[in-house]
Amino acid sequence: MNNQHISYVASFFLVLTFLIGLTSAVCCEKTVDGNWCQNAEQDQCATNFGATEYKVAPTSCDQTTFCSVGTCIDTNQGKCIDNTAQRTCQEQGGVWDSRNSADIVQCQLGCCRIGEQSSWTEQANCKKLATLYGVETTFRLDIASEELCIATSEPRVKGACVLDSGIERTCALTTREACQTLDGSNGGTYIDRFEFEPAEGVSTSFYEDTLCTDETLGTNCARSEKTTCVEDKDQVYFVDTCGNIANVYDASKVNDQNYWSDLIDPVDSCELNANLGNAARCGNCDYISGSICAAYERGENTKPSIGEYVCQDLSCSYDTNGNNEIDSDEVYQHGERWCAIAPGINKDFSQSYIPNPREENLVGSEYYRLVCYNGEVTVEPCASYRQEVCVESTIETPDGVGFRNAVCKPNLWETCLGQTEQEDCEDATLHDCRWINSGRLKPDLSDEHGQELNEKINRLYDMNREVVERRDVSTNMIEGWLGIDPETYFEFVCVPKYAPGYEFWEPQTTKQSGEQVTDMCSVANEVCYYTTADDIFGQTTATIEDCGKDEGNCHCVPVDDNWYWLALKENMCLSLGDCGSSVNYLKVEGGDSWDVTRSDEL
Amino acid sequence: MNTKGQVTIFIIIGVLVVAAVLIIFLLVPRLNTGPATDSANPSAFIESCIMGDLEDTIVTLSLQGGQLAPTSYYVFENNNVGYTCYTNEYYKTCIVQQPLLHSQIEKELAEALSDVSDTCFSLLQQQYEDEGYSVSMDLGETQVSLLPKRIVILYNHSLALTKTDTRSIEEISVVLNNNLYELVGIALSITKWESNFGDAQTTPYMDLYRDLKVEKKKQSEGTTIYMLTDRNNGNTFQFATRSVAWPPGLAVGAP
Repeated sequence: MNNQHISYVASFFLVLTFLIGLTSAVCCEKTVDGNWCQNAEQDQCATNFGATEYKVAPTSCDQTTFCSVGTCIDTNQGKCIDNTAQRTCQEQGGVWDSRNSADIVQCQLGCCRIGEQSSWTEQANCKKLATLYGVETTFRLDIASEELCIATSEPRVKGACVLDSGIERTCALTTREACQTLDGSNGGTYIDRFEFEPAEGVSTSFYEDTLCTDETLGTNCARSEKTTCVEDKDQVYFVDTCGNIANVYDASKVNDQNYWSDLIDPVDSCELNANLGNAARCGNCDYISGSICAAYERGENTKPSIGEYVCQDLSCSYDTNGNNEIDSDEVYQHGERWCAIAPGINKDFSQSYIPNPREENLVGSEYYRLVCYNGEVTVEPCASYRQEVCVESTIETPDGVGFRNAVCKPNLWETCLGQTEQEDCEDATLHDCRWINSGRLKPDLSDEHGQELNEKINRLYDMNREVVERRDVSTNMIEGWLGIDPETYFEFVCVPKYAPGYEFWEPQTTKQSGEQVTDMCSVANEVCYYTTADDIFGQTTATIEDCGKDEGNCHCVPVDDNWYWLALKENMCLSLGDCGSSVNYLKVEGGDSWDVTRSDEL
Repeated sequence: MNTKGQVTIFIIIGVLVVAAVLIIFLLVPRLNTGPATDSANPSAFIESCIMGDLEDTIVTLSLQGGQLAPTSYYVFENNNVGYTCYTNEYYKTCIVQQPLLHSQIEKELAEALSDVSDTCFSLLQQQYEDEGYSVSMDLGETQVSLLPKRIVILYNHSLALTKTDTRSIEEISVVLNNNLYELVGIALSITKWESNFGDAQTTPYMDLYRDLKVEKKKQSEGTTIYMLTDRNNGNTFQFATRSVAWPPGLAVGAP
């Protein structure tokens, strides 16, 4: 079967799939198990539920009006969601619009500022949140992404709000707006850093960028050696005796009056070392860099010099290679992702790696991605049957340490068989394929080249019989010994780079007709004719010694099942997926699925 | 006094203390361990009465994709996890099944708490009557709201309590600190990605929301289970999707 035939088989298969899909399914507005708008068999459709009738149409759902999808608007929450059928939306109390959400003004996503926080959401939802929180919000469409929205949160101006009742002079660290309401009045004039126009009772004064422990304010709030974590902030903060948050914890400044006077931005505070070596004395944690404020726990983190809170390391230690030790490369930074080592999968996870189908992507093997966040490793399986594979890369960082990233990448193998040129086959942007020797001689191979190949194989076998009969000898090695460029003699074929998995225990049939269809493994089937000769006893034999230079196809003579041609066919068979004679991911040998038959009759 | 004598005295004192405690527990009327009986705070009474059922219902809903009795679900770790987005076909993106998940959960909660709420209000009425009040109760609507960081149940029941004078209570509310609102919002975001592109990444959400753990477990027939966990309190919301599923090999037809 040459490359062109293989292309025809692959194309036929795809067309058959499409036609069968078209002819037997109907569109159920609702199925018996409660799903909306599914293409299914007639008996799966729910026709009515109480007084409600559901529609059925003898076509695909995307061809119907009742199951065409649009945007469902939740008017209560102010949120929009695409790809929803009209009835689904209406029965659940939403408003349906046939347009895509990007084309609906009220569904445009933007940056909603609520106090000091930001949220990437719809404008109507922003207004809803304003009502719920009882604060003013701003909504900006000019901020283009969620990351930018959250990164550009503008904290409101904060400072010391001094409250003087005449008996007691206390203080709260808060915003200007909140300070104006603390005395219960709504009027008065605010003048920056001067007293607010006093009302009866308590007077308030707001001092921007100033802490309550500023001695010039004369409040009853003083320095302390207490620290705390603050919600929605990464750092460890000092706390004064009134319970107000002060500046970022810096042990060297606990008695520095200047550090307890002005409000200092964390950017201008002590710098936490990358390895958290000074975490006992500096609380300037950063989540993105891999640390966050946490309560001190013996054995879990570093004991702080002052207080009970410290920057916790968010990195992970994980025994990826299973040697019961944490090697130096098995300490993962917060946010790193890498591929798990599992039996039967690739030994190398770089995208350029070419796996060996005899040892990698074995039957039953699967890929997993590991993710380190907040000091915890989570396992994410890639899609089963090796429909996804894990690939890994390292991003270079200024400190030279590098940052690992891994994804479960779809295994794009299905178009491999249709490629007839090596350049197209190995185009990694389109498929995951490799170009290999199919073991078939070129149909236009000249007699001269054919004889040349026979002679070389014959000579090689004579010289190296014991070696070439070993199963572990690779086709590359044999070709090296033969001194041949295989592309001169053989057809090459495009096969999957990562052998996919099949439900090989099930007959490959169509669900509708039960008719047997062609399965992937049979693509590697081949008939190869070789010449035999009668020995002196009149027995017909075929050995390599009989395969002289004038007789053809020495390359496919089966000698004790260990020969060049069989190695080539095995390579092709294993590359196609769960085919051929192999071991599974547990190293258990499969049944003998090789069948080399000999026919005396042409 | 010798050492042995001192030890003997301490042992005797200890025995007397234990005996006294036992007598107190056995003979003194037991403390009432039922709902709060503070008649000045009917909300606290109702809250105490329904809290067990409320918390159990929230856990069940959270483990089943926001549905108490899902009809379309995937069995994962002994839970029937409802689909928020589903297609039975291969290669195609899913159709959203629960577009108004917040509202759906609110309705499910209201229905689930209906019976226990009625019982608790009957108990409240009985409590007031035991305290000598004459009670007139008019049962109105129950409204459950998922709000940022809390769940609020508002009973629009009006109570008129008459003893020496008449006191009216128009509204009773129960507030539970819970971040189900936020978790459901993230679930809807992931559902949007699944319906548009067939997949969603977990790490961007953990980058943006520090206390959130997002796990994704792909199943062999194409379903994906997402688990959203608040690291601070362990609250988990999980749901299922099935979008752009790949068949093993070149299998033909629907699963």
